[in-house]
Amino acid sequence: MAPNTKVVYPGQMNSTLVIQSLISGVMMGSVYALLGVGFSLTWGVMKVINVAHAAFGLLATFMAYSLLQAYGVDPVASLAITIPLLYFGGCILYRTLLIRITSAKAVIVSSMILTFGIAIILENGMLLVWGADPRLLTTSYTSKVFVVGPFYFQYPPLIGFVMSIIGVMTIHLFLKRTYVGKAVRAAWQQPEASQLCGINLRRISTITFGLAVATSGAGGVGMGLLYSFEPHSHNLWLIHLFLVVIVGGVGNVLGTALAGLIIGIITGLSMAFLPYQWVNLLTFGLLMIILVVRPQGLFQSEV
Amino acid sequence: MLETKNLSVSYGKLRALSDVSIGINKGDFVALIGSNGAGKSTLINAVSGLVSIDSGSVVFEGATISGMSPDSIAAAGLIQVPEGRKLFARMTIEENLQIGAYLPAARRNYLRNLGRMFELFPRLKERRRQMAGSLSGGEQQMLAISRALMSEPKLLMLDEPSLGLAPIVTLEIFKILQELNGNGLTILLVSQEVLQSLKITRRAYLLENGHISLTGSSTDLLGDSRVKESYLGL
Ligand SMILES: Nc1ncnc2c1ncn2[C@@H]1O[C@H](COP(=O)(O)OP(=O)(O)O)[C@@H](O)[C@H]1O
Ligand SMILES: [Mg+2]
Repeated sequence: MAPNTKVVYPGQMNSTLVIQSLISGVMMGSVYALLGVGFSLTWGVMKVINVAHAAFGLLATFMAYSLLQAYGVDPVASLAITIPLLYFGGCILYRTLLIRITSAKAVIVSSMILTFGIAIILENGMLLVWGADPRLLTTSYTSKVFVVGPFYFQYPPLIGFVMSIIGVMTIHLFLKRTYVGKAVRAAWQQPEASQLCGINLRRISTITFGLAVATSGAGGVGMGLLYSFEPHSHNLWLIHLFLVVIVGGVGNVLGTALAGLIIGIITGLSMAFLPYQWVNLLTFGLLMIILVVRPQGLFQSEV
Repeated sequence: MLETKNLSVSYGKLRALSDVSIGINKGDFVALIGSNGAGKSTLINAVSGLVSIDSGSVVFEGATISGMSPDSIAAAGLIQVPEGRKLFARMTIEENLQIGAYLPAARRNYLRNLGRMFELFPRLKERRRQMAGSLSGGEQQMLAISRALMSEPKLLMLDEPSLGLAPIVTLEIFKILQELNGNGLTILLVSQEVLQSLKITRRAYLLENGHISLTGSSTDLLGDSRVKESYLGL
């Protein structure tokens, strides 16, 4: 998964190169974080590992692509359509299928099997509609850069970065500040006691799942701004999601965001200084070390 | 106000309640006593809709509530303080009270009720921004009771509110329950502190092996030789 553009300006000063790689890394990582928060939320609080999460995100990417091609809709603006669609799709999916397994003892495993099936359906649906060719979200600003002193910022990752900050903060503030968000946290901390306070668990689960799936749309468009994509891309995205969420601590929104940034920085730096084939080796080697040393992730669940 | 009619509950093959019928009138203060494993929590949870019943029914204010979901039963005004408090440990005291006031009717009176809780338990006010998990056992129980009161219950059921508390704290909590009942709140109290709870309540039920084996005024139960022997250690 190579970025669309080169990170390195050969012959520049080393500190500039380091900072430039840091910037690229942070922007890339922020998009992983955005794609990861919803995944982390359902895993951490509902014990549902939604392996179709990235596939839902990819669906939003393809829809953004079609809207851009057909009507010239900006990919970010397309979210006004795809986010509500994904929200309702997530709610319906929860009510029709997931609700049947949430009382099972091994929710984690059964949810993975169920959502794996959904991912396959989505993937093949996308193959049918859009074909197997790799696509790009090419907009008027795709190749524009924004220069500050010796550093340059490419517009697409910058937009992805801003979108991520808004997305992650929205989810964070929703959980911490709003009444429904607090009810979500209460419901997952003490399911029985929350019901005794009048909270309808089914409603809260539906909202949580719908919201998580909705955020995948923003993450998917962010990914589409950075990388080319085709109907199988979600599998690769998913691997990075596991990485981000495990490092960040499942159920932890800000932890997931921070983990995204950390991984982005590591990837960014290693892409600048190591041969490309070493990059994934390094990041996933790191994942293994973290799993051994801190299996609960770097940060505690905040839900 | 509340009536269970021939309520039976099982966990798998194990029968936890058989034909339990109890009645609570408006304004009553009723104790439910019995040894560990007698089925007291099962009875309260069946009333709250947390465990499903095999047969029988629960009627609250003239409406059958058995079969309804726990949140709808709470919305009807039947509120439980669960055994072990079950606070939202990673939320602040104030957030716990906000969730207590989750029901729409209670939410409208949130500020007024919050003021009352802080009057009743000044220690909670001092710690309102602390995590509930950081409170002492007594404070946690006070928070659990306040959280339940925030939902403006018509009937409050408390499951072992004195469990694990120092005697002086237990006394404090029982005094507050007496006060609440004095102000018109209907209360069903489950407690291992048999002597204390029989002293403060008006009526009592003795539950043994899932059956109601004795019922009457609390004073009568205090004088009963069986109760004296098995539950008061006299
Ligand atoms: N969730 C459960 N699953 C299986 N058995 C249970 C469960 N809860 C309680 N029991 C059993 O039901 C009986 C009554 O328990 P309980 O209602 O908790 O008693 P009490 O509250 O009076 O101590 C006990 O024998 C207990 O072991
Ligand atoms: Mg009990």
